[in-house]
Amino acid sequence: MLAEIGLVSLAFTLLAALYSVGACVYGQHKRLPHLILSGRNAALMTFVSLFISTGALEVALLTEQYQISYVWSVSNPSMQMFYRVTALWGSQAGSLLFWAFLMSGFSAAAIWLNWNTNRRLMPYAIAYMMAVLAFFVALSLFIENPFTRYWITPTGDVVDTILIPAGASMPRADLLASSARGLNPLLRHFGMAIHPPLLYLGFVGFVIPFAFAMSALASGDLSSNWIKATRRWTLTSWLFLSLGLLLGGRWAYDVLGWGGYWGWDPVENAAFLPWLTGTALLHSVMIQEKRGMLKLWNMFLIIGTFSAVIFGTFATRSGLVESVHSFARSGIGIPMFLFWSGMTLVSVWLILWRNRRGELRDDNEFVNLLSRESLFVLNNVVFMALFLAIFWGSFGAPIISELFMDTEITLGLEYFNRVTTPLFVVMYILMGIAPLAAWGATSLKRLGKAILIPFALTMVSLVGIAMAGMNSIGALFGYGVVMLAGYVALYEIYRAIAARSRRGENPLAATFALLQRSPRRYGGYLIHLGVTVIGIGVIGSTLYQQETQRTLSVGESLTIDNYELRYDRFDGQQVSRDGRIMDIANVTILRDGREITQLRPRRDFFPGGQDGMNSMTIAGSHSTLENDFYVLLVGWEPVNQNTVTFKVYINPLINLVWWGGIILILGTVITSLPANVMPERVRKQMVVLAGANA
Amino acid sequence: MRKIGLIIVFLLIVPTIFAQQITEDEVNQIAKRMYCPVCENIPLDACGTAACADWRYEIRLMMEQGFTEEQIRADFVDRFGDRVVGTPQDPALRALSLVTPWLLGLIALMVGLMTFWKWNKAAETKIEKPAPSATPDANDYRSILEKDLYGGS
Repeated sequence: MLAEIGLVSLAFTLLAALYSVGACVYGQHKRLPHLILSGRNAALMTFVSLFISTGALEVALLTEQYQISYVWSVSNPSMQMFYRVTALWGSQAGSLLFWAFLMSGFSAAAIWLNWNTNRRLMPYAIAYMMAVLAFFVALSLFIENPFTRYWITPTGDVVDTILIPAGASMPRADLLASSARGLNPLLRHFGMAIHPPLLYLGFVGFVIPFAFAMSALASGDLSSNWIKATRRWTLTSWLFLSLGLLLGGRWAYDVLGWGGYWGWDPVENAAFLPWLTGTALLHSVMIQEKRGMLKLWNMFLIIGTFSAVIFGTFATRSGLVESVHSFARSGIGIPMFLFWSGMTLVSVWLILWRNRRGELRDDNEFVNLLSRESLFVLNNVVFMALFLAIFWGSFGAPIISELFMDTEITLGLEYFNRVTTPLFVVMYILMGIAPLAAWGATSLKRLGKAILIPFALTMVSLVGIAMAGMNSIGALFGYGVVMLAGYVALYEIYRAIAARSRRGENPLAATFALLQRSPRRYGGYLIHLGVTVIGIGVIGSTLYQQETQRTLSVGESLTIDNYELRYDRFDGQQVSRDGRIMDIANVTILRDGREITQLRPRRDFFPGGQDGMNSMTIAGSHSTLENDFYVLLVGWEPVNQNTVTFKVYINPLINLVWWGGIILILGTVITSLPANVMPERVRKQMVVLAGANA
Repeated sequence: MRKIGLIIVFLLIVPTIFAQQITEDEVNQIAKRMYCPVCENIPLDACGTAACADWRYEIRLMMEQGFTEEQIRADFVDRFGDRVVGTPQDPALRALSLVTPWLLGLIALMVGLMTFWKWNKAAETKIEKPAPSATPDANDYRSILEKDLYGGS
């Protein structure tokens, strides 16, 4: 019954979305408000119907309906309830449905919030949102249907189909349960359980500004209205995408067992690409808002971001990442490619058409090369160069070499480090200078004066770092550039707080008042501070990582830096509640001869797991702000486990990557708040409270 | 005869004694810059499959036989193709891979410079307007900041 409910509501969603597209476009064209209203209601209904469809699949997972082939392939009776819930996005069919569900939720919210304020933009915006939704629902319905069920045909064959074959009977429930495959072990981790939904939220969120931008082009309302209507959607999407990337990195660090968090893997890069264009867009739209400039460029950026979202989804789900030739074999490869290229071409055509009519001309003119808008343009150049370099390394070069030279290549760390490092350096330099430059025009003297104290603080810090023993010129330069950006952000916040404090406010109340008055500016500084902290962590953990691998007998030790690892005991074949079998090594960690902790690195095996996906390496790590002592269990003697091979890493400052991420998220949340978000009464109370605490 | 026997034994034992003791770290140092030929984009030193363990063992044997890192990489490329290394060994592919991003970056820079040039030209044609000035205007960030800081809550 659940399969039927899910299937019918999915089919209804497709019809509703297609009707909505038609009603909104035709209604707008013929000026028929009742038809537009009907199209809007149909769009809102897609959320309800997808809620039912997604809910049906979730209930099927929770109630172990193994006759549904998706449930059979991603769950089994020993799985915990939490992973039953997250199994909804544990494989292609479910994740496409979930993607569509989130998309419908975002669309419904965008329609609800903007219907009265942006009536002119809404019809085409709804049409675009529903067109994207209809495509994903169609994929889910016709190619990757999560509601197919297993049947035994009269000839004895087992088939999984949407409709019941003639004369077919159901397989026995106990047989299905005992053979169910379970969730991919690599996904049985908290980070991975919530990483995909966050990325999806980031991805689908960018569809909203894209739809409004396209609506602006289609309707001719080319003012900054679409930017104002979608600024928070863009920020929210960027926030989710950032969170998704951070959690993905954390998952890789905890589960993939290679001692790092970012491997420049094409799948990671596919999610990073829209983040880069989205970041460029967030900066670039400010120029349009403040100066009425870069209208054309902003249109290209939002299309680029949407295009990167769809391309990333296509590349990682079609098999393109594995091989150019495998993408055609995947059911969704060709439709996704056609959709991606079709949407991109239509959007670019719309831009060029409006531009030819002179409707995307800038309102204001450029005043001075040394201005904030110039620095933001440079910032955009850097982000686009990073985008192109990463796209080329992940997809461009491998695809071209395979298609035209019949050679499969991998561009790895060597390529990415060589190409992206200089661009990141320029990005940090601009991050330090741009916030100090004025809109319109500034002078070198004024800029120099503003940067003097942050620069002095940077130099003092560098001297301190050098005296602490770091003598690599490259690392010192890297730290200098990164810290300058951070000190600029900190100094600007400090100046503002100090100025208010001089008027009698205590620092806490002053901070609160500043965040209230200008959340965009001070939230933005916090984001820069977060990126600075991440940069310090990345430099430390990349340039100063130490590693060693040794095979030890019980009681033996290995030494790395001033740490010692002693192998104590092996606990083999431990069975956990969820059925996994764990082989655990017990080790003691000493620093300068003093015991600091005991760790239990392990290998988990999942009986009955899918081929090549039945084991997981879980590191044992001792984390401090200074570094992570990270131990992997690489291998052991199978008979008596007397000798065990360990791989040990010391990852300096790695935790700053996660702390920086938290600061970045906090800054983004503050930035997306409206100014004076709290009622006057609450604000006064907060100020009084802050005064009392001072 | 006994002497000859001793010499043969000596010749057999000595190279074994003085053979390079290759550590796992030395093997990983090379494996780190190579990729698993089977699994997609996983560095050879980190890959946990049995096939990769065998390939690491092969690297160890080659190192013991005195192969240099470049020779080992070239041998793997011969057998499994350019995908086993982080940048292709084939000169044409290598040039294509490494030069293209810089060209693309250059194009991005050119677009940026063209924007500046266009802006500059537009500003120059507006001769009736006053000369560019660094004086703060209503949009000036600094002036807004100062207003924020001193202009009351």
